Amino acid sequence: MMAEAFGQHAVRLRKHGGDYGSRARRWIAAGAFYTAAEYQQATQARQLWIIELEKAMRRVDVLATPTVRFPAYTLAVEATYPPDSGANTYPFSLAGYPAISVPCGFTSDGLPVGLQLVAKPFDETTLLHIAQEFQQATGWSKYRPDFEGN
Amino acid sequence: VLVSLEWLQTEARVQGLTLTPEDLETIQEYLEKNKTALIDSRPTMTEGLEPAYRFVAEGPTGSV
Repeated sequence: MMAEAFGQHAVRLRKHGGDYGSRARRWIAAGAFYTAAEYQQATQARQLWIIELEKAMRRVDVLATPTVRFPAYTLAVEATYPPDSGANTYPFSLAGYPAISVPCGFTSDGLPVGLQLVAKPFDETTLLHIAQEFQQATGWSKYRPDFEGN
Repeated sequence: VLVSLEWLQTEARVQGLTLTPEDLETIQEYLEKNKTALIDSRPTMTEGLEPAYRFVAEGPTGSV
């Protein structure tokens, strides 16, 4: 995925690399340093993951997971390289499966929590329909974090 | 060390990338981790890895 991300960002990264956040710049730029053989091997590993995901999705319309594995953190914490917030979303991006995140409540500290829904390839209609039904049924999207203590 | 900082500096220059020493150090860590994982999981056979999944027929795919 790094190599593919670099392919997409190469022009912009060369011209405006300083405009990227350091974490994103380093992650994307790392894609420039893999060999073709390594990329080919990685695509084979990805194919194995896709086959497993296809099997899992045969019996369901969507998968539901936490969008992020831990509560939201501040930009100051982000600068210290906390755990990767994309760990639950990368696998489905890697497989090319459509996914969406919808609000699903708050932590005990009042921080918002997201629910990730993942559908089968090219089944965005089902994905959006279920996401909308969830939002209408729960109403979580109408609430905002209370950072002011009000 | 699979990829030295010196090589990264040279290659970044070749590819037209302006990266800080801190960028290169972090990238070196990424590469070390991922290239090691690839080395540790090199396939021992060529059969079963092709064709690309979009061309695989519906139904059981067999061992890969």
